[in-house]
Amino acid sequence: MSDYFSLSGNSDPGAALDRHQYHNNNNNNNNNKPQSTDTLFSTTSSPEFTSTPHTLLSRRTTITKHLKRHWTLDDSTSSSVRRLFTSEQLLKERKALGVWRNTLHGYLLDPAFKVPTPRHTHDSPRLAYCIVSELLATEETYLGHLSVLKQMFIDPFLQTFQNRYMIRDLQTIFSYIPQLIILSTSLVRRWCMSIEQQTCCINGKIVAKDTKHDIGKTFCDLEDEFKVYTYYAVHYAKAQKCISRMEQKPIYQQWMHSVLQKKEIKRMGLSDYLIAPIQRITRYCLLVKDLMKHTDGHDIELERALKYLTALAVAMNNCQQ
Amino acid sequence: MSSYNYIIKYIIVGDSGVGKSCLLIQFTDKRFNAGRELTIGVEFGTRFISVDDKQIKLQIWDTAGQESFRSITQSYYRGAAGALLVYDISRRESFEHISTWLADVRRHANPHTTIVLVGNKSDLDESKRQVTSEEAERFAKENGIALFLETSAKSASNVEEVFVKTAENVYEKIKSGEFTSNETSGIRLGPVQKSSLSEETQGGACC
Repeated sequence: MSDYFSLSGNSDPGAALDRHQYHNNNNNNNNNKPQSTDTLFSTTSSPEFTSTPHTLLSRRTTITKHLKRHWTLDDSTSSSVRRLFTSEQLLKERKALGVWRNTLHGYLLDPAFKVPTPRHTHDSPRLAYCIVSELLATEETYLGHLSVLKQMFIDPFLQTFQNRYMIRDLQTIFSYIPQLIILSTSLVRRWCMSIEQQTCCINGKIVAKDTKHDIGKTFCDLEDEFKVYTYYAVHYAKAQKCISRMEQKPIYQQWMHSVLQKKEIKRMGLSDYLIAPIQRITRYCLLVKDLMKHTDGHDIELERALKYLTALAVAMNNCQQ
Repeated sequence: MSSYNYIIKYIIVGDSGVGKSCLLIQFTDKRFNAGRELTIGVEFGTRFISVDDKQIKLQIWDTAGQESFRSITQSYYRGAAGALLVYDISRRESFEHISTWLADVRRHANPHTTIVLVGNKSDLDESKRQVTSEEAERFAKENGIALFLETSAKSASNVEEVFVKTAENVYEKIKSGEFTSNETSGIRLGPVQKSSLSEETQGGACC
């Protein structure tokens, strides 16, 4: 896990397009920059392209130059460049993002939005500490799932099926996993620090000092990164269908059989892993709500976190229909 | 504990606050936390049980926090061999919503999925009861629900039973060949598998 820590959590200007190229470059997904080059490539060509490495290289270079030129321009110009490559998928992603933003906006203005009232008792510091620990512990489990998904399913899957079947829908959803891993890693790292600050060691026992924590701040700092979840949700239903199709094929059954033998995956199927990100958002809402009950005073950032996470769940639910 | 024959997947659904997570935690960890101390954060719990001399690993998926996001929950149904529909006996509303939960399960789950109706919080004082067990029993019968039990996650009453009986029902279906092991049925073969059981499950599409 330590190497995840070295990744940067910052979003890349080409990120929206980067997502589509993951299958071309899956062993190398940690460095975002060079990827935007093949991005365009894969969105404009079929995923089962057969170009030789040589022609690929030269086309990539031109596209890189082209993109660099445009991305240095102002926003309106770059968006018009993007529109050239806008696919139906991108439109759906934008729509989902819009739902998230609009719902959040509604919540922010809505005085009736139910925010849990703090019920501070002498036990609150301990309970707040319990919840923060749980947030961290479950985040680590979740990050573990994402890593297993990537290492045990996605990488071998792409190697085996790259040019075999129509797996575009799966490739698309897989391409978000690295971003999810980066985001989750940032959360784990920051919450670890938060827990250290929140506690002290008295006679060898870990004791919660007070209800102060920076969970709300962490969520707010990373709010923009959470948009990857809307994209993920947009492609989730299609990915499920793609898996159903694949399950009919003997070669996939055989492959899955061999994957399921591996200890690391704990006998969970690909679908079980793919639902984890969807589930995670709704869990954040529960935990944040609980945390608000045991937080001293009014934590504005925690409140915003609850609102945007709830709005995110709404948006993710919305695009399944 | 790697010598089990089957992995069976369950899903627990129902209104928020009916005690879904508590049932799960009572069954997997044998504890109850009224004051909300730890773990609502588990995505699923696992426990080994044995049915008919077969070791079975139950993988139970909790949907807490997703009650108002129906479309999200739907994708769980697909791979579930057992579905527990939970209501709170002291909240009539939660019982009345069971029919929509049932409709969801029927629409999205495998047609062979074992559906179980669970009235939770049976430890509460009778004066708080808003749904009689007769009424729920009748509802289960009328709607072709295989099993109905009243449970208490707090006192652990019937908790073991509800999960084990569901597994027995699923296992009967495996034996009769109604269920075959694959991703969509919610049943997977354990490591001690292979030929003998493949035959037992009538060959089917087991991997």
